[in-house]
Amino acid sequence: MPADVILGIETSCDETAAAVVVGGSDVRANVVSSQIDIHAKYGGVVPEVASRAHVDTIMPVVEEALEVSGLRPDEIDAVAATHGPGLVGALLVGVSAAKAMALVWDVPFIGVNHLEAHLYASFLEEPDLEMPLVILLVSGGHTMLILMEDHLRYRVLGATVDDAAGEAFDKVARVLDLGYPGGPAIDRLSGDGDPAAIAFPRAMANDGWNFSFSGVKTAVVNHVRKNPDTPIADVAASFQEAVADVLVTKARKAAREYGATGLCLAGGVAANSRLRERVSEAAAADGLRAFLPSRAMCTDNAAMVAAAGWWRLAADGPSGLDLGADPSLRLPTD
Amino acid sequence: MSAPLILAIESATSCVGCALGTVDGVLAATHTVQARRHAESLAPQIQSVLAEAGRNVRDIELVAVDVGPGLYTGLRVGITTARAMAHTLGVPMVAVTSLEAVAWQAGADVTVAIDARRGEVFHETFTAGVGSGPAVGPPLDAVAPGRTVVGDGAEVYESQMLESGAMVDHAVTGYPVPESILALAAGRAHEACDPVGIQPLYLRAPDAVAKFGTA
Ligand SMILES: [Zn+2]
Repeated sequence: MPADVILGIETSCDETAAAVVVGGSDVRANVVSSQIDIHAKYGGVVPEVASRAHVDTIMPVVEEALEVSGLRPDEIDAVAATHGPGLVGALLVGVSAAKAMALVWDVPFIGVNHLEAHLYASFLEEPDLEMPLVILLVSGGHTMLILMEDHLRYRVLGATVDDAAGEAFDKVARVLDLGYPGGPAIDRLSGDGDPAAIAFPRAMANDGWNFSFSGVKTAVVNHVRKNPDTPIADVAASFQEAVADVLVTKARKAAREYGATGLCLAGGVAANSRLRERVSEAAAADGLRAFLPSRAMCTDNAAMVAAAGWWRLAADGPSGLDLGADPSLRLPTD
Repeated sequence: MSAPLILAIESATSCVGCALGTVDGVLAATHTVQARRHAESLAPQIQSVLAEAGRNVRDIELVAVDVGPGLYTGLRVGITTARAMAHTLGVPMVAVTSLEAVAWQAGADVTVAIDARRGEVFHETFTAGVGSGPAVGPPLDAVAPGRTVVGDGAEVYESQMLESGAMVDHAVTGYPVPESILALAAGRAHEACDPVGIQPLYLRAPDAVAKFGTA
């Protein structure tokens, strides 16, 4: 019988997570311990603080995932852990714990690419997704336009040339004094604002597949300085609209050009309500299917790691126990 | 009843390795001194000492680990590996400090100084096997006229230490080796505790925390 029950582990940034997934999509447990409260007072993730917290939390989180799954440790067929990209000290905690458990249980260890894991989040809720798919992978660290041609086969059509979309949200939230994390704060506030109030720039909107978000961030800073009386809800809504507009315009164009059957969102920024709305509308208008993973599957979690690990194990076999962490690991492409 | 089989893990300094044995001695041990390769090296080393000793991972009855002070990343690799193994095996753990291990290697009354980077050392003075308590600070805090200092921190700051009248003993290995962790752990197997009770000894707050003045 193929390895079916995967224990997934995720510690690449500020979430300590463990999950048990059967057959690549049947989620039996998905436990996430967030460090948001710990990092909020610093206005962002502090790597050393994150690494220390992962050490304290990893085994309790694994234990809880096993307990919730109702499965015994001897029913685990493989252990998968994110080994990059991410914060190296944080990644090493998950990788070390996963290898140790694989060694004791005498089961395969699988090092998982965090970006590939995000792409597999959609398949947890829609295992029969048809490809090719155009996926917008948008998070605090990444902004990528990806064509997924088949399982484990991707083409990165474009990426940000400067700030990631999530980074722009965090920086704008800081300028507007909305606290950390910025994404959810801007999302909430935008509900009370007019997205057409201010015409923020749509950088590179009609120019290739790459993105640039540092210009819109600067435009927000300048606008707030020159027009201190503009309601901040209008600023937030107009900024959010500009970002969603560029992302969706390009994804739509890519779907047309590459004959994709659907549009898909992945990554933490995929939890943004306006972006979700815009993707649904675009898909409906163009006769495409829209796949919007639940918010819990957009943000970092270990179920997506277990799912990607299940596919990788079947395709490539186990990773060596000498695998390290790679903070700048890239998405494997043809 | 036979003496418990102990797996000892060292990953807190430039050295990464492990040893398998009992209070009666070492069955198999290995280590390398290759900075920043701790995570890559440790799990294969554990497999290799088990194979060399002809033992199964399930035979391990106690996991010992160097809890530092030392290099944060290596320290976390060692502690996380050790805790995950002990937890999964359902066996207790014993903590040994890097300073105790180097003092044990010296086998005499010494001050141990381990390089803490940023112009500081982790240090502790041992008298008749009893330590003064681990501390971090400038190299001169670790020395006194006539005192013998050992450890990689003594080597890095040798000229300063000699100037203040201390002696530096190069014959002692300057970093802890897994055999020392094993030997010290075997002597305190009665202190074994649950894996959650094993805490890393950082001795310094993260920079951001120090800056913001909160813990
Ligand atoms: Zn992520």
